[in-house]
Amino acid sequence: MSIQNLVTALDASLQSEIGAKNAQIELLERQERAITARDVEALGEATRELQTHVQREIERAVKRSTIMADLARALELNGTVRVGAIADALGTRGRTLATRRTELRARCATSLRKTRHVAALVRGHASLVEEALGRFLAPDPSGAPLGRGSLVDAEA
Amino acid sequence: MSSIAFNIGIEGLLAAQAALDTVGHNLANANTPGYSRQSVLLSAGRTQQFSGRLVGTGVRAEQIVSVRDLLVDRRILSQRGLLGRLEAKSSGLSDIEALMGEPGAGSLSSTISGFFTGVSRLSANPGDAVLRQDALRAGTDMAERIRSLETGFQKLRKDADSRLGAQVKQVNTLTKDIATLNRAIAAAELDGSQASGLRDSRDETLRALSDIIDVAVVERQDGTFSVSTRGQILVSSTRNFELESSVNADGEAILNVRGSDQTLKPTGGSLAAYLEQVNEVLPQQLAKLDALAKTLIHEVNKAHSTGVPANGPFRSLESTHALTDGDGDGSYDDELLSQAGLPFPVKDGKLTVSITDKLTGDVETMQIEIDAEETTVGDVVNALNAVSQLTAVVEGDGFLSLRAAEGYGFDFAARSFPTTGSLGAAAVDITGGYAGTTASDLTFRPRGAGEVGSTDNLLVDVFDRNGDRVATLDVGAGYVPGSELDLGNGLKASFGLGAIANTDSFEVHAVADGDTSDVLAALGMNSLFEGDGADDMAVSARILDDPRLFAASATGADGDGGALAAMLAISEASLDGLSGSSPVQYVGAVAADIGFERSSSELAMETEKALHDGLVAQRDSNSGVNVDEELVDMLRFQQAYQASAQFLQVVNSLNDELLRLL
Repeated sequence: MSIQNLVTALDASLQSEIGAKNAQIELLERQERAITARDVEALGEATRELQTHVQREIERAVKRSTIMADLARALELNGTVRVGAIADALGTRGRTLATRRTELRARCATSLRKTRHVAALVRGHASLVEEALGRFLAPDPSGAPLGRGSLVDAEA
Repeated sequence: MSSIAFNIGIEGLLAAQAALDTVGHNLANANTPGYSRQSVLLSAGRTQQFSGRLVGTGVRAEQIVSVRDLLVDRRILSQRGLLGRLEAKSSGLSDIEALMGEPGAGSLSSTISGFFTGVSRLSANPGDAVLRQDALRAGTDMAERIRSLETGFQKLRKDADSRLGAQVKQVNTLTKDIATLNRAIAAAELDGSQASGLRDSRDETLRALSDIIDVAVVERQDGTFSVSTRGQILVSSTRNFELESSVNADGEAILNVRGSDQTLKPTGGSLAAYLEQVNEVLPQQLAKLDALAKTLIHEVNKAHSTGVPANGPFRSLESTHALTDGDGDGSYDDELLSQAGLPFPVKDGKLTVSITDKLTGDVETMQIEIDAEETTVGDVVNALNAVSQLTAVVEGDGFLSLRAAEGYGFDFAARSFPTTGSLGAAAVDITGGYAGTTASDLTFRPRGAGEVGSTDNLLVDVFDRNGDRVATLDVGAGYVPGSELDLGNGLKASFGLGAIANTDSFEVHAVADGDTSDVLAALGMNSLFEGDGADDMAVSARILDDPRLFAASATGADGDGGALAAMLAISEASLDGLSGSSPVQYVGAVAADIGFERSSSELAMETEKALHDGLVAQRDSNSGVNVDEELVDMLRFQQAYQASAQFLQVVNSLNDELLRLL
C-alpha cells in the first residue's frame, strides 16, 4: 500500500474514532443521568451499550495500530509511533492528519473527564449502597433469616 | 483544578451522606404510622469554567422530598371520615341493642307479655286475690321496665352529648396543631426545601381530624394547608377557627364555627354520628318508647276505667290528670275538653254513669253526651251533678273529684238501661250483660193485644236502632211470666202479667262500652296506670294500696271478668298508636329495626374498611417504606454500579492509550 493510501486510511480511522468518542461521551452522559435519577434500568442499559462500544473501540485500535505501523515503516520512523510524529514526517501532506489529531485529542480529553466524572459518581453511589447494605445486612445475632427483625436491630 | 476536584469529592460525599441518611431514615420509620417515604434528588453539579474548559463539579443532593400521592391521601382522609362515622354509629346502635336486651328475660317484650299473661290468668278467676296481686306485680314490672328504658335512653343521649363535646374539643386541639405545623412548615420551606417530617406530622394530625369530621384540604403556595368542613374554614394557614357546640330552640345539639351563625352539619367522622345519635336516633327511640307507653296506658285505662272494682261501685274518685285553665280566667268550666290540657284525646261519644243504692241494690243509669269539639269541662261537671246522689267538682288544682252520697256508689260500667220498666200493663225486666260490640237501642213492640201468659200467639218484636228486627218473643199462652227470653248478645227479658197492645212500646239502651268518648281515660278516672308517657308510667298507687280496686268486672257481677277480657284483647289488637301493631309486635319491630341498622352499619363499615385498607396499601406502595424493596433496590444499584465501574475503568484505559498514540 502506498504512503498516500496509508495516510488516507489513518485519516479515515481517526475520523471514525472522533465519531466514536462523541458517541461515547453521549453514553457517559446517559450513565450520569441514570445515576442521578436513581434509574437502575437506564444505568444498566447505558452500561451494556458502553460494553459494545468498548469492544468496537478495541477492534478499531488493532486496525489503527496496523496502519500506523505500516506508515512508520514507510516513513522510516523509529521508536513509539504517534500520530503527531507521522503528521510531522509527512510535512504538508500530513496537515489533515494533524487537524484530525487535534480534534481527536479534544474528544478524548472530554471523554476522559466525563469518564472520571461518572466514575466518581458511581464510586460515591456505590459506597453509599455498600455502606447501607453493610449496615443493614449485618448478620442477625438471633440467626433468623434476613428480614425485618434484623433491620430493627440495625436501627437500634 | 485541584479545588474543583476537591469540590467534586465534597459534593459527592455530601450527596452520598444525604442519600444514606435518607435510606436510614426510611428504614428507621418503616413502622411509623403515616410516614411518607423520602427520596434524595441527586443531580450533577453545575459545570464550571476552568482555564478555558468546562469542568463538572460532581454530584449534589438537591432536595430530600417525601414521596406522596395527594389524590390517594385525600381519598384516605375522606374514607377515614366515613369509617369514623360508621364506627361511632355502630357503637351507638350496639349500646341501644344492649340496653333493650330483646328478646330475653326481663326485656320489654317479655314484661309486656308477662302483664297480659297475668291479666289472662286473673280473668279465669277474677276473685282470686293472689292472681290479682300477680297481675298487678306484672303491670308494675312492665311499667318499671319502660321507665328504666326511658332512663337508659336518656343516659345514652347524655353520653353521646358528652362525647360530642369531647370530640369538639379534640377538633379544636387538632386544628390548632395543624395551624402550628403550618407555621413551622412555611418557615422551614422558605428556602425552597421540603420539611418532610413536619409535613408527615401534619398529615397524621389531618388523618386524626378526619376521623372526627369530614374535611377538605387545600395546599397553598407557601406549603400551608387550609382545612375546611362543609364549606366552613377550620384552619386558614397559621390560624385555626374553633368549633362550638350548643343547643338550639328545639333542644337539638348544633355545631358552628365560632363567630359564624351558620349551623355546621358534618356528614362524615364520628361527630356526624354523635350528632345523629343525639338529635335523631335516641330521640326517635325515646319517641317510640313513649308512643308504646302512651298507647298501653291509654288502651288499658280505657278498658279499666269502665270496669267495676271487686268491692263494688265507688264512693269517691279523683282524676289523675289535671285540667288546665287554658285562657287563664281562673275557671276550668269554660275550657273545651279538647283544649283542657289532658294528655289523651277525648272523642265524640257517651259516658254511661250508674248510681247504685247500696241498701236496695237498685241501679240508676244515665248517659252523658260528649262532643269532642263543643263539650266543655263545665258541661261534663254539670251533667255529672245532674245524676242523682252524685257530686262532681273540679278542685283548685284542676283535678276532677266525684263523690256519691252516703249509701250510694257509682261506676261507669257498660250497663244496659233501664233494667226495669213496663210494656203496657206488663212489667219488663232486662237482665244479662250486653255483649254486642256497638251500642244499640232496642225497642219492644207487641204485634197485637192480649194478656201476657194467656193470649194465644201474643208476640212482641224487638227492633234495633236501625229498625231491623233482632228478636220476636212469644209471651202469649204457655209463657210463664217472669221467665227469661233471649234477646241476643247476652241480654234477656222477662215479662210480668198484664195486658199489652200494639200501641205500647218499651225501649232499652244496650251499652257496649261505658265510655265511648274516652273522657275517663283522658281525665285519668279509675285508671290502672298513672302517668302519660314512658318517663312516669306506673301502676296506680291507689290500686297497689288496695288491690280490690283493680277493676276486673265489666258489670259488677260476681265472677265477671269483662274488663279483664277487654284489657286482654289489647295484647292482640292492631293499635293505631303503634302503627297498627300489637304491643309485643311493636317492641319486636323496634328491636329488629335497631338490629338491622346495627348490622347494616357494621357491614358498611367492613366494606369501607376494606376500601380504606386498599387505599392505605396504595399509599404505602407509593409513599410508605417497604424494607424489602429498599434492600432489593440497593442490591440492584450495587450490581449496576459494579458493572458500570468496570467498563468506566476500561474506557479510561482506552482513552489514556489513545491519547498516548496521538
